[in-house]
Amino acid sequence: MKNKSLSLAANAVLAASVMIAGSAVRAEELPQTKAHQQFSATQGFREPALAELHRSGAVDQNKVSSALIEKLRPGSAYQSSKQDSKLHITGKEWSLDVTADGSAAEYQDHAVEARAHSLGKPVSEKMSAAELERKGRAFIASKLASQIVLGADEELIPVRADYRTEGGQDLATGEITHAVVANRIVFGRTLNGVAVVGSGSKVILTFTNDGSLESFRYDWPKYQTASSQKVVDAGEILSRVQKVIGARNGVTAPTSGVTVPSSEGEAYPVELTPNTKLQALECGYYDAGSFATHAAQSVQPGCTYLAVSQDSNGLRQGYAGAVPAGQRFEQDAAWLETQILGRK
Amino acid sequence: MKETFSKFLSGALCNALIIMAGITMIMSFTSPAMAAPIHFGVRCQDDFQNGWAPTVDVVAGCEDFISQIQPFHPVDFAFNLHGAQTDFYFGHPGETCNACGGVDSVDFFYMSTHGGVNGPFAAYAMWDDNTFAYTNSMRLGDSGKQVKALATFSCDTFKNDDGQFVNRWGKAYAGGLKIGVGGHDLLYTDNDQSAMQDFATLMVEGATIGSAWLNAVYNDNNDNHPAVANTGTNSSNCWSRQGVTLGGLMSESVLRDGKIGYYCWTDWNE
Repeated sequence: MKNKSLSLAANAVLAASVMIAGSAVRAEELPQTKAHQQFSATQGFREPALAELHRSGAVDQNKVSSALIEKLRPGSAYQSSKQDSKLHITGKEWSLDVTADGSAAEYQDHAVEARAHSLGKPVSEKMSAAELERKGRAFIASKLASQIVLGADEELIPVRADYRTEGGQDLATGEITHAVVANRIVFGRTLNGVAVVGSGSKVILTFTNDGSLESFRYDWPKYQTASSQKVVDAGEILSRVQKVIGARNGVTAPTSGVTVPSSEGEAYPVELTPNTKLQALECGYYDAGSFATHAAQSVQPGCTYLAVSQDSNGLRQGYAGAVPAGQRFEQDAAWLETQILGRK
Repeated sequence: MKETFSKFLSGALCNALIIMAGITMIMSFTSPAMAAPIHFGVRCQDDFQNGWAPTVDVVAGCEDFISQIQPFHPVDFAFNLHGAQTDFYFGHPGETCNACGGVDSVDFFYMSTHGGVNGPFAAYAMWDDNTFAYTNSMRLGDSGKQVKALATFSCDTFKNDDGQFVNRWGKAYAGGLKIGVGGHDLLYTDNDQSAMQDFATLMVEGATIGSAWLNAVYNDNNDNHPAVANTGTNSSNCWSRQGVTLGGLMSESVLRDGKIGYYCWTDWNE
């Protein structure tokens, strides 16, 4: 009984704290990203149909790593090994990983990372998104031009800016300090104005406060167009998200459908079930990326979602994923939602 | 009933005691960079008694974590969180009992479940109806095998933007816990969660435990809010200790109670 009472007392406070925490969520998206999320929840897609794509043009991972090292660490000694299908390369205070298909890579400069703390600045002096975009584009142009290649009617677009922050508390004085130590820009890609959503077609660059590059990670395949799929409207997309969330969190979905938010005003949050709200939806070509544990080659029309359930105890749980958006979509063993929605 | 959740453990062995003993014997070698074997314990819960909390798909991530760690370090147990509350509580027999999945019965404890906070403490959801393990009843690292690292894939428990982190975690860290990683806000689960596999891989490769967590969890989903936190005698010492790797985890000095003068933490996505 003692434990039970403690639980109930704590739960009431848990719920209160959650309300406060929720207000700070997702503050990093850029205006164009927020506009995309708003459109996705209210309209879905602009086009009635989209092509299915296939990741193609696999490149030898050894050639990719050699080209990157020549740009980043010319003349540097290094060792390479295979880790599962990835090529893992380590040099003095740096490392590089290249995926099996050569379309994705991750680089870390450990020396730069190690000095990031000493370069800490007040959070108010963090790099602006505009400055990060400039620095990111310049780095891509000078060091990654052979990998981040844009096809016809493709664009590199900034998606979000994120920050690594540090805090500390001195127990003698009680003083708490905060600093920003690293600044990150995430780029995505559009094809004929349609965004690629998911982890594919992303370039993530991290800079310390002195402007040094600490790390990058990209997943940048070539795409081949296949047959097209007619896409469903926003109401059906939201209904699919509702069904998937119900299957994932074990809560029976309500019999009533999801109300499509009005284009006027803030679309989010969208209530999926009494305890679960949709925080964001982004529709486009869904590419899970080649870093994914279960990567798929096909890239279908789809919408990524972020949803949060909050139970009667105040506990929160975040659910992320993607629903297919084609009227008739392809079942994909590596894409859970196609299996949930494809069940008879 | 407490039982193993992992296919890596349950397939070969049929009960908790045999699992614990057998795997510890099998895992006798370590990588060259990590001379001292680090004993890992893993506890994960995806569904909850009478549905008191929503189902969360974390078990695959836990199995991924084990699969990457096991070639290098012994994984003593992989249990769910049935009846587990007192296995986290200082002074209770379960806390130091390896066969029970006690937090202080291993060097590195990994857990995935729901989490939350309120003013004076953080709480982790157990399987049992409406039951949590609260940080203010924990004193991690002061008994049994003296746990050195705690990693929890749970929302909110490492919240630190409200000035309450030390109030919530002070009693737990006072036992000597060297490093903790978790979520300072939401952590999302998805159907292709590579975060735990990457976390383990990066640690084994030699990255600091904190950096491995921050990068693996952020890269899995850019909307995640990973955090790392630890103690030091002072600011400089605290930031130095945040750079601990698996290779240095066992030998790093223990700080308890009055020896702790500073808490420091790092977040992505404040």
